[in-house]
Amino acid sequence: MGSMIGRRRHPQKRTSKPSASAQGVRFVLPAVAFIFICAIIPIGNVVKLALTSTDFTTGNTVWVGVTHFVQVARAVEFWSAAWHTVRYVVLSVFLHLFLGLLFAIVLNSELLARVAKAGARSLMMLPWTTTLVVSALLWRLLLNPQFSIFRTVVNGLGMTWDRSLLTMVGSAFLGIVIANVWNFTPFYMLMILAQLQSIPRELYEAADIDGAGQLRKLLSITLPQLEELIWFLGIFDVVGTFIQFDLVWLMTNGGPLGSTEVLATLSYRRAFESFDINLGSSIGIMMVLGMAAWTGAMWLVYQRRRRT
Amino acid sequence: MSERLAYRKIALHVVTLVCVAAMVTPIVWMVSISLHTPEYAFSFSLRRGVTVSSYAATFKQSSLFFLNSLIVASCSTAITMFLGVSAGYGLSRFRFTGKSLTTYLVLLLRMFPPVLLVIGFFQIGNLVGLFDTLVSLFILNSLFTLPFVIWMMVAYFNSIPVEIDEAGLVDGCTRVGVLFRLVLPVSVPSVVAVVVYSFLLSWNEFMFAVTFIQSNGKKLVTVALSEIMGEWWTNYPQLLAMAVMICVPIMILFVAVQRYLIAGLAASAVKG
Repeated sequence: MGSMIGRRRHPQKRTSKPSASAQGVRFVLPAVAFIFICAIIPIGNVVKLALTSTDFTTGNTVWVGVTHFVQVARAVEFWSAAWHTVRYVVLSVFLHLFLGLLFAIVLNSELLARVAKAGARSLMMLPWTTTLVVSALLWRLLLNPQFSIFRTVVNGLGMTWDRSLLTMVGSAFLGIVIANVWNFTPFYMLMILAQLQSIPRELYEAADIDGAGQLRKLLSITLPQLEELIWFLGIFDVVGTFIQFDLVWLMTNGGPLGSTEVLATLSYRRAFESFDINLGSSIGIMMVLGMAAWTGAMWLVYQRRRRT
Repeated sequence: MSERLAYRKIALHVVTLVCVAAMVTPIVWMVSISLHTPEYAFSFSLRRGVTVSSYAATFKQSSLFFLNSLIVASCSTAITMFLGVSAGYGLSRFRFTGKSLTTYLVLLLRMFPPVLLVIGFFQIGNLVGLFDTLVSLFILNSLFTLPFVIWMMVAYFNSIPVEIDEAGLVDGCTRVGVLFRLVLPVSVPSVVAVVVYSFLLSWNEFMFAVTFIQSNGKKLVTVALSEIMGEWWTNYPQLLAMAVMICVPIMILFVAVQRYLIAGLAASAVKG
């Protein structure tokens, strides 16, 4: 058995089929029960909140159907928050994957010394471990010309910079995206790098023999091998960024004049600051519906592509 | 030809250096500010105004918050690991009715907006008397972290040959015994990595903590930092000393286990 423990198996390859047994239920039950009690019930509560109204004086809860949803759909702030969220997601996910791919390709290069590779990988991972609270703090300082180290660079280029980027309507959004990209790109870089390292060298060597250039090799070998992973990462990143709360709340709290309000912060604000928990619930449910629709569409696209 | 190669090597190392610098500079800057006195806070001088007094002051003021965060992160991790390892083993080794249902449930949990969870839990928590308790955070953090832990444990367990299980069963071990005495000891580095990751997620958590904790005595360190951020605060070294104390210990732990963690994350991503 010692030799078996020493061998590193590819995580994907199973050695034998899982056994059909009801014992599996026993192992899975604690987690499922926990999720059911602690998540499903509150979710049910949220659905109830979205569909009812409670009179504070009498404590009566009345079924109001889609009234809250209509109210939400009529509110300009909802649609602007939705737009901000979509913008945030598209830009962040694109940059995560694009920069992650770029960094991963650089770090995967054979020309790089092993020490440099390992060191770079460890160091570049650090932003991912940084608490979003700290990240928000750091970037608030970095985007403020009063403190930022970038000020010397900007002044050197001859431009003037007198107000924090987070206080101006157009750039506040970009400021948050920068912080987000700084924080999460390392994760995507590491995932892509892991996949890159599993691409067999022989493919590249064969291409070299055929006289393929760097770009050709990238397009015809590297990218196709990464395609499935990037799809998967992209879908998960979209969901993760869509529901994100901390950075926006802590950096701009909805931003100058609501220009950085996203759906998550809006929902929270309406529930806990405006004390309209029904409205907050409705906004949240609409978020979930939007995500479900999008995920479903992606699933269909994925199935279609797999068949071709 | 080799001259061109040397050129490319150097260029590549420079590019790598630039990338690393871009990622690491804010962290280095943070540490630098925290080690200076307020007057020299934003200078980079290595001799003038260097002090560790900010750390002492911060520690005196916020040690309670760190303790609270430690309690919450530890207990959340314990709960998540117990539930997650068990569920991971079940999903890896068995076929049973309701297996795909379980998988979808876990996926659903991952995709659910935490904001909604907070809203839903808020009322119920009030009724059950969980408001303003650390226990509510144990539960919420565990829910948040559970999908990751389950996926990673499934991936790790899948990579361990079933022959080990079968050998144990033949010798008369129960399934639970197999898990604890044969499978887990083999996967210790991976389990440790998952523990660290789970701890990291709970330690870094903000939204649950800020919503469910009211009293000062139970406040968590992330919330404390955010409150200080909001005030008019000129003592930046102290502020950033606190930030460093929040981040750096977990960073060190993370780097120590990174190999197993990345392998596990990659495996769970590929499987998914």
